[in-house]
Amino acid sequence: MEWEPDRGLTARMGIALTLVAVLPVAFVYAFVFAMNTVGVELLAWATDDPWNGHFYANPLVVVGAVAVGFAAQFVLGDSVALRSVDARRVDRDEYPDLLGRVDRLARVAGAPTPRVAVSRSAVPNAFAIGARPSQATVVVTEGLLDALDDDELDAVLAHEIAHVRNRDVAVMSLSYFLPSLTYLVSIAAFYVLKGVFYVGGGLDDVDGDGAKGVVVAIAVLVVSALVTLAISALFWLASFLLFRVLSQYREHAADRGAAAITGDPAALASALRVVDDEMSDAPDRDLRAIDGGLEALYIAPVDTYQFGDNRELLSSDIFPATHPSTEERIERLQEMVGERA
Amino acid sequence: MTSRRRFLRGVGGAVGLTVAGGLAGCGYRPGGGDVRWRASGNFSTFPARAVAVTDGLVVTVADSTTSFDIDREEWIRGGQVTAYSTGDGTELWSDQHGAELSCHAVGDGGAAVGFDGTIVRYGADGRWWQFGVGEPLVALAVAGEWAYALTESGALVAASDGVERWWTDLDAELAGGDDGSGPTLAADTEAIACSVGGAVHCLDPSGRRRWRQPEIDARRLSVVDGEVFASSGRSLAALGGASGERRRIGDEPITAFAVTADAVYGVSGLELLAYDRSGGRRWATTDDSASGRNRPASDPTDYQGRVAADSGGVYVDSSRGLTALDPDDGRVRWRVGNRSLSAGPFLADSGVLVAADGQLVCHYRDDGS
Repeated sequence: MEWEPDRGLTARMGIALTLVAVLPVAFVYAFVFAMNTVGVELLAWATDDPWNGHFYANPLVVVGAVAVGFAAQFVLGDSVALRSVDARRVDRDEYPDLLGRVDRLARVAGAPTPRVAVSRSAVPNAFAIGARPSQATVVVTEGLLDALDDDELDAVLAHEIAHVRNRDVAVMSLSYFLPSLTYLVSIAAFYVLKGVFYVGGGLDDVDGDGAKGVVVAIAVLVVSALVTLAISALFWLASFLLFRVLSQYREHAADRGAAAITGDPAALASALRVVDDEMSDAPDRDLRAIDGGLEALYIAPVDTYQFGDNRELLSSDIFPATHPSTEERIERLQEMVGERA
Repeated sequence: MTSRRRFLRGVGGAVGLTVAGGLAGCGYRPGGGDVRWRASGNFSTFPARAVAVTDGLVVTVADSTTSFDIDREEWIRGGQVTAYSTGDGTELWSDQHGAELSCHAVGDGGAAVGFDGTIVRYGADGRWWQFGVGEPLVALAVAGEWAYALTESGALVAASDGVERWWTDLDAELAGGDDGSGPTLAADTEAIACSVGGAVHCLDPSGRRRWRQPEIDARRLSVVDGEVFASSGRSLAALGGASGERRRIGDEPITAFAVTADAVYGVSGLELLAYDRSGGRRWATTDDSASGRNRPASDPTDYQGRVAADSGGVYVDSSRGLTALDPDDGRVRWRVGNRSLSAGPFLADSGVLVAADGQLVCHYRDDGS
C-alpha cells in the first residue's frame, strides 16, 4: 500500500490552526465585550457611580500573550506530557527491540526516526508528541508492550509514526490551549460561586449598611461568575468544533498511514481491540494514571464507560470527543483488509 | 501527585503566562461623567455662590462661621477662606478672619475677601496682601494680581500688592435696581464692569471711565475678552467693551449663563439655549412644554441649574443630574444620575467639578480627559 498525501487532513489542519489562533483571542475579547456591557452596568449599580468609559485590551498585547502561551506550550509541552503519564525517554540499550522497530518503521514511512519514551503505566496505550517531526517522541506504556504481539505492536508504532509524518501532532498539541483555558477559567468561576454561597451562609448576623454591602458584593460576584461560566461554555463548544474538525479525522488518517507502513491493517485492528479490552479491565486507579488530559493524543481513547459508575475523568471533563469509536475504526481497517485481498 | 494535577499544573503555567501577559495590556479607560476623584468635606454647607473655581483652586468662602480657638480657648466668629486643589481635592490652605466678610471674589488663580473696609487678596499659594479702604465694601472682583472693590459710598477702588492704584467715585445710587438686586462687580485684565444704582459702568484697568449704560440693571455681570455680559434675569445683553454698544443675546429671559470664546450658553425656563457671541441662536434643548397625553416629551430633562462651558463641552445642572452636552448641537453626551448639586458645575483641568452630597466630586469631561 502506497503512502498517499492526505489533502483532507492538510485542509483540516489549516482550518484547525486558524481556529487555534483566533479562538483564544476571541475568548479574551468576549470578556472585554461582557465587561463593557454587563460589567459596567453592574459596576454602576454596585458603586452608585457612573461608569461611562470602556474596558480595553490592547490587541498587540493579547495576540502577543497568546503567542507566548503557544510558545510555552511548544517549549514545555513535551516535558509536561511525559511527566503527566510518568514516562521517560529510553535508549537502545534499555529497549533495543522497541527502538529497532521504531527505527525500521520510520524509515519505511520516510519520516525522521522519533525518540522513544516508555510510561510505567500498566494500561495499554501510546501517543506521539513533538512540535516538529525531527523532535518527535513516540510514547508507549509498559502495559502496551506487555499486551500486544509483535505485529500489533508494529501497527501501533506505525500509527504513531503516521501522526508524526502527517505533522498533526503539533497542531493537536496547540489545540489543547483553548479547552484548557476555558476549563481553568470555568473552575475559577465555579470556586468563586462556591465561595460566595459558603460565605453567604454565614452572614446571618450582618445587618444595616453592612448587609447591603455584602448583598451588593455577592450579586456582583454571582453575576460575574455566571457570565464567566457562560462565556467559557460558549468557547468550550467552539473548541468542540475545533476537535471535531481535526481530531477524529487525524485518527483515521493515521490508521490509513499505519496500514500503508506495515501493509497489515488487520494487525492494527487487532491491536485496537486488545487495547480497548485491556483498558476496560484495568483498575480505575491505573486508568486515572493516564487520564492526564492527553486524551486526544492516545491511540485509543480513555472512555467514560471504562471507569464504571464512579467517574472522575479529566479527559472527558476538559476535552470534547477526540476519537472516533474503536468499532468504527476497526470496521474501516477491515474494509482495507478486504480491499487488499 | 496525580497525572491530572501534573497536567493541569503544566497547562496552567502556560495559561497563567498568557493571562498575565494579556492583563498587562488591559484596563479601563474612563468615560465622560466617571468619577475622577472625590473629596469629603462640608461642602454642602456652603451656598452655591460661596464655592468657586479658578486656575487650579477650588475656593470656599464662609462669610460668617464660628470656630473654637484652642490657643485662646474661646469661640471666634468671623469669615473663613479655604482653598482646595482641583487636582485631587486636597486642602491647600485656609485663612480665618476675626470679622464677618461683607463680600468676596474668586478668579485668576486666587481670591479676595472684604471685611471692615479691608481687602485681603490671596494668591494661588495662599500668600496674601491686604489694603485698608477705610469704607465698608459691598462688592469685589479680581483680575490679574489686582483686586477691585466697590464701597458702600459708591467708590470703585483698585489695589495691588497692598497699595491703592486708583480710586474713582461712580456717583451711584446704591439702593439697587428696581428688582432689589445689589451691586455687582466683574473684571478681567481688559475691563472692569460694575452694576450699581441701576446702571452698568465700564472702566479701563487704569481707572479711566469708558462708558455708562443707564438702562441695564444687571443681577449678574461677566467680563470675557473685554466684553461685558449683563443678565438682569429678564434678558441677557452683551456690551461692547470699548463703546458700551448694547447687543441683546436672544429674546428669552436668561437666569444663568456661561460665555466661551465663540458662544454664549444660557438657561431660560427649563431650557438650555446656545447663542453665537453675536446673539444669534444656535440650538436649544427640546422644549417639551407642548407635550401632552398623546405627545410625550422628547426630552423630559429640566435645565434650570447653573451652567459652565468651554469649547469642548457644555455642563449644566438639571433635574436629571449633571448633564454634559455637545457645544455644536446640544446633543447629550452623558448624565450623572439624579443627585442634588449644592454647587457647580465648574470647569477645571482635571474635569468637571461639582459639590454634591457634601462632597467635592470631579468627573471626567470626556474619554480619559
